[in-house]
Amino acid sequence: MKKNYVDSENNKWDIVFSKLDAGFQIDSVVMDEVIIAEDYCIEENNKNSIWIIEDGKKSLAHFSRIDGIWWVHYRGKITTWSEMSISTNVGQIEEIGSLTAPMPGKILKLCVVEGESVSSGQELVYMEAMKMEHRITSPIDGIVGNIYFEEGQQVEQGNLLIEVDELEE
Amino acid sequence: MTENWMNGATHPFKSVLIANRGEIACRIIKSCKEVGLTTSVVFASNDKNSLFVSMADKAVELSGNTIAETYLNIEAIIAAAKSVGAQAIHPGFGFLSERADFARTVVAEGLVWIGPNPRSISSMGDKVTARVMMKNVGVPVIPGIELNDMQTKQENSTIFENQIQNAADEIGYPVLIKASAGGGGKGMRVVHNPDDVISSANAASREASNAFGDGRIYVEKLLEKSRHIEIQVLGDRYGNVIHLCERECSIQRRHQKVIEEAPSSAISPSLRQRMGSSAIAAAKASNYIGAGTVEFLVDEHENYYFLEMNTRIQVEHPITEMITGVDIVYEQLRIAAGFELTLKQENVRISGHAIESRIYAEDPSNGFLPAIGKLELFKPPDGIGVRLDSGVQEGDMVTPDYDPMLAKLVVHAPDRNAAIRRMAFSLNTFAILGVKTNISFLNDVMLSKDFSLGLTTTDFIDRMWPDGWVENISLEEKSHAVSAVAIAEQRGIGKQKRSSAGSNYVGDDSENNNPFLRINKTFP
Repeated sequence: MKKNYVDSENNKWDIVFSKLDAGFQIDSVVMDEVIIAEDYCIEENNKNSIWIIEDGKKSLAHFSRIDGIWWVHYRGKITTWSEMSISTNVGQIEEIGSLTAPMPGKILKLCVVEGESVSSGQELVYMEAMKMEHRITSPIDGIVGNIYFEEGQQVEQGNLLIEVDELEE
Repeated sequence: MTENWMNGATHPFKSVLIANRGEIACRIIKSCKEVGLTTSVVFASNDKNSLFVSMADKAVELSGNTIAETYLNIEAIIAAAKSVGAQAIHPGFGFLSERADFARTVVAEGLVWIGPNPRSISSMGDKVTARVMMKNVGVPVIPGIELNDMQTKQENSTIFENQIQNAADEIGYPVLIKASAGGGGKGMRVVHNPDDVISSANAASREASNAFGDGRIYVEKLLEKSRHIEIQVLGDRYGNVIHLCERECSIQRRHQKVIEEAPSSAISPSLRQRMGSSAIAAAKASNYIGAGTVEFLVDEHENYYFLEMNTRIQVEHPITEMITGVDIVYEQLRIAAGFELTLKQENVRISGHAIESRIYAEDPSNGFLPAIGKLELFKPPDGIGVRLDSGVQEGDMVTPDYDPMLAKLVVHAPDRNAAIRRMAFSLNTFAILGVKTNISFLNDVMLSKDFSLGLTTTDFIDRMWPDGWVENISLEEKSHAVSAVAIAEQRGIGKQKRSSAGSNYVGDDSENNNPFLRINKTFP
């Protein structure tokens, strides 16, 4: 079995693993084609944590998937991980018209200015994240409200990027 | 539930209103409940779901959106106390705890004030008054000059400027210009160059005027490579004062303490005795009643200098409780009720070593900028010698409305090395997901050689990380973490959440949006 994720610095990680009678065997973990770790075991603990077993020592990893990002606490440190398949529209969450960054990354291009009329589906912001370009589009017909970032700026996952106000009838 | 310990009190009460919020409100509620007192709190609407509100026996919502309308609203708090039948008020720290007018009103309304008398609060609250008082009773103060006729500044700026220049020249550089009414780093300027004195003094005075409505300043010697050492004192209504030894609080960022320990690795028994006597003299000079803290700076040559006295319970009081076994909140209750201190100085003993780490929602790799979000997962450590004083629970939102301190992690162990090891392990296993915290930074302090050697001076963080702290996560740790994600996803475990997690508080620099300015006073 194989899965892949992207870390907060946009490195790509591949994990190859197999099922054991109790738990899993991690066959290899590869970052950008370099093997980082191999051959250790994982045991389930509860719905928020699992044991990682290496050289006969167990450490607990806690995790939580928040807004599509995995947060992991392991040996006192927090890392965040994104799944590879991110659609261009995941920026649209919660309030219609308030567009947040779907992942940590850089603002490549602002396609609109404050006060501009836009139509549904129109491109608003180009972001670079996960070594890929993502285009955030307007969910509605409306007027561009506040823009919170400039081109070239780094943003965190969840940061509010731009607002589109609904047109009044 | 409990024996009638209140029998024979000169100022008895059965019910306490805590005029505070968060962690310290929870802490006070626990001690009150332990001894059978009824507890009540006041709260602002954005605290409706906070832990302290659910813990208190009764809770009164205060209307209004600002702190001035809620936690600083004396009239509304007194009315709330009366409406729930509270007979005493505990102010906690911050907010109204050092407001003499609040203490006066509480007493005038026939309630018991769990704190010092209003005159102690006002005399210690004014730094110049406190300095002069300390000099009069022989407590060493930092070499400096009080400019008592600063009022002349308004009429004659030339006289003011001459005075301050002469004072700074006489003391010798570097000097520190401080506001008499100051606190939290406001109205404070370091001056290395004689040419900068006047402009810095004017700036400090302006800042103090704006922040405190009082532009009086004074000049003192800047003590470099010093330690922040404070002595906990307890005084009763009958003039008895004891001290509960020292706490060292040298690890600070933005003039706020982040790690404290007791006892200090730098204080010898004889210095402890001398500083303890000075602290008692300081408390007696202001007829001090209740729990208070006398803060000192200690230089490399074991000279110590009075800094200020905090006339309230302090954030870091638990470490003193751990090493002495004294419940300081319970002592506050007993003293307020009018009992004599039962603990004698000769019976105060230090047992082992305690360390406190303040867990903040903040990003230590980005200038300690406050962080907000939802505490999706909150798994504190436990075990022998581990204590958590928390104001939050899993699922709570961390907002920019209040101080970003989430909890205080306190450990107690037989000696300093064991306490450091215990703190490092506890920090390591403290899992918080959904909001950035300073836990990994605190752990790096614990693991640093300088901390283990006790080289803890107030410049510690700047000295250790002159270009800012950067988190070091090994590729091996990352690989283990990501494999945990893979297995979690494969097994379909791990919560699916949607929230505004993990964002930094992004705002412009205006005062309204600066979370550090949202609260009236930071907690030293």
